[in-house]
Amino acid sequence: MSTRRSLATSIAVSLICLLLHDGGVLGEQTDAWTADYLQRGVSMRARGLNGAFVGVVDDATSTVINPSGLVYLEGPQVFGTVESLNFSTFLSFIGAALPQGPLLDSNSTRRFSIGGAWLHLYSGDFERRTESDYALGEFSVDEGVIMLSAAAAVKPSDRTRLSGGVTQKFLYQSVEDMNWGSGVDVGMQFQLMRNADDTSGKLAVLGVAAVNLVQPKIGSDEETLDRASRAWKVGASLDIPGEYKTVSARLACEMDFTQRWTWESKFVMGLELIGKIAAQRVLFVRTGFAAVEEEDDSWSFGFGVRIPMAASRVDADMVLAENVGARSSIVRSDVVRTSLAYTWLRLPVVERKTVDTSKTPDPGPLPPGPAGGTSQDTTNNNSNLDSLVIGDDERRE
Amino acid sequence: MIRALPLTLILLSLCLSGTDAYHHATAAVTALESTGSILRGAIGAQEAATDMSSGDARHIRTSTGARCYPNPFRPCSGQILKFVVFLDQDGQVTIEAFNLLGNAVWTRRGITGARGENNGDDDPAFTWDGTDDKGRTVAAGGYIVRITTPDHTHFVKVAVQK
Repeated sequence: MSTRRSLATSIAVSLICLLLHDGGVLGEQTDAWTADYLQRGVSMRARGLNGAFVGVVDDATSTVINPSGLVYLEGPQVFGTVESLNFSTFLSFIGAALPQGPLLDSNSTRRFSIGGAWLHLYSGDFERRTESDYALGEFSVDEGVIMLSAAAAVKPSDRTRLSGGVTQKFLYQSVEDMNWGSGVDVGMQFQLMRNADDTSGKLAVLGVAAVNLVQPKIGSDEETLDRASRAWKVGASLDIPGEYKTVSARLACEMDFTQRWTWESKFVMGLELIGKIAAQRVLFVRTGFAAVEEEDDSWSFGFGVRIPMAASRVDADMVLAENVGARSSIVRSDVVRTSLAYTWLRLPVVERKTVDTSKTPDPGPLPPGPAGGTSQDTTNNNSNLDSLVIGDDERRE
Repeated sequence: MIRALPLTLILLSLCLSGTDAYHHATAAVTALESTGSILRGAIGAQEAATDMSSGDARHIRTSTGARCYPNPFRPCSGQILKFVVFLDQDGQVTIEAFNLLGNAVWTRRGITGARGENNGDDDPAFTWDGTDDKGRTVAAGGYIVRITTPDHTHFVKVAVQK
């Protein structure tokens, strides 16, 4: 209990320190805001929900969205996506997460996870021209961010999970010269499970994230630094089980407040329909609606496919349409954007018990068993591997 | 875990090769656009590519449907971006700047252009001072400028440096 209290105290003190650090100041007329790509969801799962993701995220993109989501991964994960935006401009993301220990259940009351990610925006084919209008070849513009995250979760009660995370980010930008800046994100998630049973799955999630709480500033001249905008995000999701356990749904909503010259607000709602085969979630259909202050309302549509394997799985998420209804953008809309995630599923650790036959009386002939049935090793074998994996998936629902 | 590694690599390669295809497709479209612009510009401006007296092969004044200079430019040091736009006929021109994510940051509509070359050096309407629609300085980085003339739409890429 004292450990839990000290953890809560240190989180609260850290948050207060971070909030006091240059907090609550709106931009001046001379300021410029950079790194907008941080506000663009890197995962197509998030984009399918039109960004209603801070109360949903539980994958390696948590480093960008809400670092507290890293602890809910079932196992180590690598995540990647590359987007062709337009005119030789590409946004790529690669991230990895490494959770420590088993998922929070009756045998485990705390969990840690670390993650790292690299988000890179490249744009080439700029024609270099002098002030006298002479061409001097071509150049490119690169910018991006390298992120390192850590998260921890505790189980305050049988039906609740509480997690907190922090991301240290290093932004860079290269337009002829390379400039650096650093910042910090923090996030929390509170999960309410359906009931005290381990396999019941979660009922609702509340997520809070402060993006760029410690604000990155980039530039070579102290008077003309560009700042990454700070954003406060509050989101929630509600899981609705299906009647016949073949289809379930998840409702998500999020409110964002972004701090620039003024406060800009955005409200997003998303719906995810989940199709199951043999108790495994394999198909996802998503849509999202966003109402952005002083901009047009927009819709997005996407879907995802999960390919389960023996002790791992692949998630491929696609977004079919984005910003439907919003004002025209020059980002190409004729491509299906895809993100891929590969997860090594962490199986329950089963203690290896070997019976010493020399000290026990002979039980007589052994009953027929699986291949290699004469072994008295009680460790899981491959035949029950799949059932354990399914068990994990069911628990997450 | 090790057994799964090749599969991961294959998936990542597929992802990257898909992107490569996009890249090539984009490059092809851009090349076509550039070729068209060069031809249109050559006809409209009656200006052929000319080697400068320095003899430096890089110093070639190219003639396209639209271009801008200096690139990159430093608005914080007082530099102004000048556009050179060739028109086949008199008409209205719109110039818009988008950031690399495709969001509009600056728009100038209703610019009156004359047939032939319209240069920011002569007409301030064909310039951008590196501010947004509300007069605030934009961030350093890449921008895509769309120039819409009565006959064509041109895109040029501009970098703002600080």
